[in-house]
Formats: sequence, structure tokens, C-alpha cells
Amino acid sequence: MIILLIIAFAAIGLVEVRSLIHKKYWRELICFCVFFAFSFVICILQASGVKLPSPTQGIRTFLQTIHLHF
Amino acid sequence: MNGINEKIKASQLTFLIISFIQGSVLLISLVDDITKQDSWMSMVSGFVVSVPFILSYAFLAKRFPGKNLIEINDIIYGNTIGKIVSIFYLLFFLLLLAFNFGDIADFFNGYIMPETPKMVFIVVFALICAFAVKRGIAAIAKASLLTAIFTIAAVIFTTILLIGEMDFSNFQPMFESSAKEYLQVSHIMFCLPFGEIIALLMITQHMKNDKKLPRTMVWGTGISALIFLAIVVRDTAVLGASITIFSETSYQAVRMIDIGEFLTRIELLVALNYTASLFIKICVLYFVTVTGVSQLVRAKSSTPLILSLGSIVIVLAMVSFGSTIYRNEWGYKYAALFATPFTAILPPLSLLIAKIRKLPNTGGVRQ
Repeated sequence: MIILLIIAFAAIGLVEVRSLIHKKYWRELICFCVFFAFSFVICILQASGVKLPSPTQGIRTFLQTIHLHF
Repeated sequence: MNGINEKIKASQLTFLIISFIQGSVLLISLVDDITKQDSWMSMVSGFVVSVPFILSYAFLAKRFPGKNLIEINDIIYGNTIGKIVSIFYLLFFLLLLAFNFGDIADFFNGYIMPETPKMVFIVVFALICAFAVKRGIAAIAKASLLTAIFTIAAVIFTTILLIGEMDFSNFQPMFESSAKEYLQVSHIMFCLPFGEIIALLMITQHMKNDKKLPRTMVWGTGISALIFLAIVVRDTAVLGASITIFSETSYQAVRMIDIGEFLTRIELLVALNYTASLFIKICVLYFVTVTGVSQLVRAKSSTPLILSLGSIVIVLAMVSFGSTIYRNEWGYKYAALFATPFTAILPPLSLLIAKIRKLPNTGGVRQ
């Protein structure tokens, strides 16, 4: 699974980075790298079975703290 | 992104709104669980409450022609606060996107292919939607025409075939639920299916004639509310008290179609209907999130972000809800309240501030 993920991300990275460098879109390249790195890390963590925090749990806790729920 | 500057007609936006709202059709089972045979009343009240808010979205977009929600926030709240408000909106759209991916995976995993892991449905669906987003909003709007017509035809067709199974005494006793439950369902209906069309304020700048926007938005929402009403009335009349037992009422109701042991297994039509409507809803939310993020970081092209954001959403969809019970509890208790600031508080507030500050102004003259 992890190997498959690495291959998929490598393919996406190669295609997009080449195209962005070719067009000289430097700002877009930086943004892409930031989002790409973040998505790669969380995908690898998810694939390796690490328990990632659920966003709904955070929202739920916040709403419970302010006593705002049905 | 292809066709980023392509314009969409008012009629296309109407169909886009219908398909977008129908993407929340899985919510009906949740509503049935709370107000049981009285769900149709809460459905109507939810729509009536949502009309002024939907008009506020439309008037906001009409007041700032050619601008999307992020640009409107910048003008109304100033650069810094406007950006913060826009970031919250984009996070809201991103989470909605993840929840909808989770919904489609849950449905397929629960009813069509129980042995297949949810991840497979999410990844396949995400790839198809990424392709649609790359084609642009005009292509999605054109596809929504087909999905909206398909939805309306499927509801009419299944309702006609179920007439023999209907028992209108199933609507009695009326007013059985508590006032709090009616209020809860009306709030859920307003904030979730109807209020979520706030996302379309990110694409109204692509409209050919934005003067028709209020009428288009109310029409689209009205037709969707009628479809919801038809579904709720059909399901209640067919299933009666057992409506609360099933986790997917429309699917169960349509399962009962058996015309001469020949016309059976029509429930696949419902499954196709869900898939088509959710496809449009997910595509719109995906498009809105990608264009919003690229606009926020002032990128010239949003195409490179499609797959990166898509993979973040896939993980969010996987981790958001541990189980169906947890998902239902989120739907009952928290989802509408989570959406309230974005659908019920900020848009009317923005319109009010724009009116007080006489925005937009270009050297004192309104555009």
C-alpha cells in the first residue's frame, strides 16, 4: 500500500512540477509543494495505520464545551 | 483548469442547484428518524425558513457583480479579517467535501458492495471528480442538467410504481413529536441541504446574467424542496411506522416495488440517483475549494492543487467518522450547528454591513 502511494505521489509530483517549472509559475510551485508535502505525509500516516485526529471530534468537543447541541 | 472563463446560464445554475441540493438526499433517513410520520411538515418549514437566507445569498452576489465569496469578504471585512473569514469558509467547504465523500462510500459499502473497503469507493470517486473539476464549472453545470432530469424522472417513476403500496393512514397520528424535534429537523433542513448552496457564491461570477440570480436560486431550491417532499411523502406512505427502523428509507421503500414479479430490483435506480446527485455536489464543492485556495494564495492556475487537495480530502473522509452510529449522531446533534455560522449568520451579516457601508463603491458611485 505504502509503495503504491509513493509511486502515485511520485508520478503526480513529476508531472506537475515539470509543468510548473516549464511555465515559470514559481508562486504556484511553492504552493503546490506545500500542499503536496502535507498530503503526502498524511496519506503515508493513514496508510501505515497511525490514528489521525478526526476533525468532527474537535468540532464536537468545542460545541459540547459551549453547551451548543441538540 | 479548462473552461475557467466559460459562462453559465441562469437555467444551468437552476439545474446545478437542484442536483447540488439533491446530493443531500441521504439526509432524509436522518430526518425520518427524528420526526417520523411528520417529517413532511418539518421539510416544508425548513424550506420556508431557508427562503429569506437564500435571498440574502443571492442579493449579496448581485450587489457585487463579477465577484466571488472570497472577493466579497475582502471588500466587506477588509483585507485581513476578510481573509480570515474566507479561510473559515474554505475549511467549511473542505470538510463538507470530505463528509460527502464519506457519505457515498458509506452508502456503497452498506448497500451495494459490503465486502469492498470504503477507501476504494472514496479514491475512485475522487479521481472521477478531480477529472470533472479539471474540465471546469461549465462542464459540471452541463452535466447537472442530466442528473437533475434523471432525479426528477426517477422520483416520479418510483412514486407511480409504489401507488399500490401506499397507505395514507400512515401519516396519522399527526403532531406526535415534540416542538424541539420539529425545530431540530427544520434547522437541519435549512442549514444542511438548502443552506449549503452558499458554496455556489464562489461560482456566481461565472453567470451570464446575474440580475436573475435571486429568482434562479429560489426556483432551484423550491424545486429541490418539492422533490424532497415527494420522497418523504412516498416513503412515509409506503413504510409507515417502520420508517425509523431502516437506515436508508428511500432505498427500502423502492425495494418494495414488485409488478407481476417482472418489474423488481428498481432500488438500483435509487442508488444511481444518489450517485449522480452526490457526484454533482462533490464536484461543485471540490471546484469551489480548489479555486478558493488558489485565489487565497494568489496562484495563476488552480490545476496543480486539484490532486494534492484531493488526497487531503480522501484522508479527511477516512478519519472523520469512525462508524455509521457516530456519523448519525453527528448528523442529529452537531452538523446543523456547525454549519449555522456559515449559512445563517455570516451571509445576512455581510449583506447588512454592505448596505450600511454602501458597498461596493467606486469613488462614491455604486457600481
